[in-house]
Amino acid sequence: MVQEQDKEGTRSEDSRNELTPPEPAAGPATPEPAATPEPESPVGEPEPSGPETDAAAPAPEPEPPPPPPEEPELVRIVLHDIVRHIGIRARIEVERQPDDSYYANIKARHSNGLLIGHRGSTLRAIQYLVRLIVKQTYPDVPMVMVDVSGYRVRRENFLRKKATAVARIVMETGREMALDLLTEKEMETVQDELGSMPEVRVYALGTGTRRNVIIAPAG
Amino acid sequence: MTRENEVKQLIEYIARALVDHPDQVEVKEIAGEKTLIYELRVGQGDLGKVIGKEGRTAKAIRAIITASAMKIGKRAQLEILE
Repeated sequence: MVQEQDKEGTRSEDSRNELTPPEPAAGPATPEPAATPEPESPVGEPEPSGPETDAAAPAPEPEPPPPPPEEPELVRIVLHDIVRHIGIRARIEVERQPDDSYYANIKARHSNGLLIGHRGSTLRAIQYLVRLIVKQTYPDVPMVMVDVSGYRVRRENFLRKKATAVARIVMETGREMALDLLTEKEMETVQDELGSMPEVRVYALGTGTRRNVIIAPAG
Repeated sequence: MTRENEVKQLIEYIARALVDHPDQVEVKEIAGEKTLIYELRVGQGDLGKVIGKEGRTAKAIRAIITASAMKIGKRAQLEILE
């Protein structure tokens, strides 16, 4: 008995058709009543820990889109969305600085270290992306400095103290000393701090976010 | 919603906010035991938007999803496909 099974691969499944057709508006039903259209977007709500204020869900209506939030509010919303998607609940405060830049402080009860990352790497990535996203709406958005519970401020103070202490040793011993692997910004902080000490000079080996900053006698 | 999905949403959120054609952003998740792989596809002409100058944007997205995945004890890997 020869059972003729279909050994020839008659299964011509081209089952790789995962191309979902672009559906125009596959969003969920809008929970908002259409009867009372508020022209203003709910910007003026300073809800510190608003749980589900989802600014990322555009209503699937062909109506003219609501005006985008004001620039500082948009900075806050984008930052809030990113942090929320990382999986961290946090309060975000955005302040306009005297030099027109923004200082955005993320205040999370837990997971601060996660948001900071190794030597601030996650923090820098968040800062870069927030500004890039806000830039799509406001092309002239100024610098946005993102901080996590004052980490940047603490780090800067620490660096200034350390730089001064190391510079004193360099002056006493007359030998140069490596300070640390610093970013460009951090190196500028060190140079700023030691600007008033003409006995030492600061230089770096390497570039980018890992420059070995060295304090040397000026002579 | 599992946390894996949140990493996916994070990528979708960032990509959609940056490209010209948000409706063409697709993220596919391949979940392994310890590693989560995400394949990001964007519309024609939007590739540069998610990669950025010298890959800066891609690098930033990777850094952020690394943090997000770390929260659930996993590693995340992002592939940007044409």
